[in-house]
Amino acid sequence: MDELAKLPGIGPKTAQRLTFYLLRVPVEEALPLAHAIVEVKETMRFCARCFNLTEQELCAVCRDPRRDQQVICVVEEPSDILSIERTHEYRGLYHVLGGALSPLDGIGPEKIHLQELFERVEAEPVKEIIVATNPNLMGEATALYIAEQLTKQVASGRLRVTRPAAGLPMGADLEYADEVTLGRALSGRRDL
Amino acid sequence: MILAHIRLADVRCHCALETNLGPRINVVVGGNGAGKSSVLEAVCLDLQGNSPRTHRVTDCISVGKDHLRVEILLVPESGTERNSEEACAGAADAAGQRQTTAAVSFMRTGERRHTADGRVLKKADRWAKLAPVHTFFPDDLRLIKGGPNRRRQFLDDLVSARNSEYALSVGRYAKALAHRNALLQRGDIGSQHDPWEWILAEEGTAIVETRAGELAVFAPLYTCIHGRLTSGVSEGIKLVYRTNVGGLNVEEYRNILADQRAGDCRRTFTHSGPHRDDIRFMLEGIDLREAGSQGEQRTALLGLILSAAESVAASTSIRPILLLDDVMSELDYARRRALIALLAEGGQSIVTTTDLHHFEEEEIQDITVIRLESPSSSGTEVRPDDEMTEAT
Repeated sequence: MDELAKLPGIGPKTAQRLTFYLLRVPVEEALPLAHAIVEVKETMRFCARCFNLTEQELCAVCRDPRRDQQVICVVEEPSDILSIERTHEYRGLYHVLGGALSPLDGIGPEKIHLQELFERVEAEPVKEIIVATNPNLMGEATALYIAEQLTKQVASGRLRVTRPAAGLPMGADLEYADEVTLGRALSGRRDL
Repeated sequence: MILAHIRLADVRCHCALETNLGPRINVVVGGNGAGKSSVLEAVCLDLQGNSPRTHRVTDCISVGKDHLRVEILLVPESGTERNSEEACAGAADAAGQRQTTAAVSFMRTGERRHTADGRVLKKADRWAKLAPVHTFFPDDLRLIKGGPNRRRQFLDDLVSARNSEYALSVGRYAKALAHRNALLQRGDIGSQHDPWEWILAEEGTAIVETRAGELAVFAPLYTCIHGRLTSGVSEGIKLVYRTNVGGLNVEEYRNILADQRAGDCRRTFTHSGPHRDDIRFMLEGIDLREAGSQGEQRTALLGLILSAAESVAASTSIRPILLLDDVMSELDYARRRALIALLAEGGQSIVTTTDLHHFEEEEIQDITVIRLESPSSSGTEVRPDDEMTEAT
């Protein structure tokens, strides 16, 4: 029960309910779960190139020759890749940082995969970096840091560093939008 | 909204107290220890969710009791031209206008429960917009005399009342500042500072600009109201905004931060920015904080609170309720007259005093007087009728 309660989003009550559920179900239903957990921990590892989750040396995106090799989308966590892949809008590569800069928590550039990103920019034929870190303070600081570190490449004209637009959610009413989102959406407006 | 009726149970020395309130000036009269301030405190507990006198709300619970309760009947301002008793009794049919009972219970265990007409509220900030409360407690003099923190907080509250984006800016600024200071404390002065300084510069310039803009509107209002309080004896008080990053654009601001990294690292904190802002109260060339007399400082604070209420009223068209604890005894005859005249023009107010003689005969005509008898410290049950009498 204590082990279940350690999981994110699971409180003591849910942990208790899950425990009693597992006690009740037949062995053949409970064992696959146990095996799945063992399997994930034994076979899953990080892609050597982009730090996405994979069972092999390189992840599925990096292995796919049809992906656009000139664009890298930088995200904080592997789960962010799933969100972007669901849009079917993006055909380039990824780079997972494994977090965001946060001096207060002692997380500097050396603690996340930033150096590896800069090495990829040098080694690969990259033309654009899309910095898709979270739109919170730490994510923004990380994005600014990346942009600052790549100013030389940008100035030489061989690289673009971009950030996804911040704006209004589709199908939403203006009157319910918060001031900051609406303000950003207005300042980032485009021609029709 | 105004407070039409208030009921306290087990708040400090009040086992049970119930009284109607008038729509204009209310005066709570009683001897020392009669619980005058506790009545004001109870209003804050209910409508603000905290006490201006203590951080530990459990201190407000009567000795030997396990919880306190405050109930306030709020009625719309316009439906209250009649005297308070009628307003209260007839408020239910007040031409379809909505009245609400705002209640709060605080347990000694630390739990609290805010309700509106019996429905539990998730947040206590429900009343801050509907029935904002501005207070004057003698301790508030720290705003004038103490460190700049309280003055910045006052300024922030003033701006946030009409600019909701400002509070977000201040929050982002504070977080970015904490991150930069963490770098400084680690002795790091490298390129890691860049993103944080960028955010500090962007939010910092916005904050300074907003504060300066707000003060440009507020300072003349303050000078005017302070002038009325002092019957224009002095040449007029001036509010002066002090900042070490005034008039900079984002780029200049960033350069200053970058230049100061080494120095900041030795200090282990960030020297430049609106987190070091201050306001000075200048009266005839004298800084009141350093050289003002007690009376001058008090009048300056009282003027500040009245002006802030006026400023909120002007921008939101809701007149805040003023709770003034023991102001009369500190003011001379002329200033008392000026204060009562100012209060009479404003919305609802509750003033505590030990002595009704501070008020003139003709002023009392328009005032609701609430008398508190000597403290019921014996803990015996006192019927509300015995404890207070009302004269309107």
